[in-house]
Amino acid sequence: MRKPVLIVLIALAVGAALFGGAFYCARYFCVQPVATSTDDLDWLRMEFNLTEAHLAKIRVLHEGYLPICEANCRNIALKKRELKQAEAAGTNATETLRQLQAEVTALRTKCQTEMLAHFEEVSLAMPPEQGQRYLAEMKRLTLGSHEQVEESMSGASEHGREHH
Amino acid sequence: MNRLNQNTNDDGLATLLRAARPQTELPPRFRENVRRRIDHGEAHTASIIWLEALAGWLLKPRFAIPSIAVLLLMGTLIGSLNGQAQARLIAQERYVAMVVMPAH
Repeated sequence: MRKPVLIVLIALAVGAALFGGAFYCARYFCVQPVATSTDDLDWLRMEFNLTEAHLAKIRVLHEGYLPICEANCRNIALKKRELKQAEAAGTNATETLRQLQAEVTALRTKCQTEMLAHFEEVSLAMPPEQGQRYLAEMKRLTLGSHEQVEESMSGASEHGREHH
Repeated sequence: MNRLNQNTNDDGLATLLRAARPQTELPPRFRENVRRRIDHGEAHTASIIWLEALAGWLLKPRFAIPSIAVLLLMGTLIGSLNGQAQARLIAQERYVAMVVMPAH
């Protein structure tokens, strides 16, 4: 009785080890090159099957856009710090606080507008079908999250209204 | 005549034996329990046969080698599909982190 059970158990263990080993090795060799890569455009190459010519054109656009994006982020961060300092100082000048908030909002709008313009430029540098897919995906990833937040907040307020 | 005597003696012996072994009441559901035990024993034997057959099958190279090949192939296939999806996600996150305005 014991011997067949032992054989079946050992076979199961060996089978599981072989399957698991093959699974993790294959997974590692697929993930490792991407995980250690420093190329920001790996995703575009993988997802949109771009040729080297398309990728070169997009790389120029990407490298041109990065300093703009960094500058926008820096400006927003500086303005936000200014706003926080004004709030922490207990400034009673509502007008000053309001103006600083408006400036932060304007900088965010500028940043978002330039980001969307960049996405459109990149999409135009791709084959039409892939470009449309890229644009839709980037809008989903960027604006989609904002819309989700807005929808969840409006849903929450309506929900709140029902109860109060 | 001799046989008649023998039968009379057997009857006497049987009576004596019955008297020597007091009759006890059988426990309730005795027959069902016995039947169940017999069935259980049969099932147990069947599982042993099944396990032995499986063990014998596993040890045959004609079965073991293709099984190993199938397991390796399946593991590699599923692992590479999973890895590709993971790699795509890592690459997407890196790209999006570079070009998308972070939550300020």
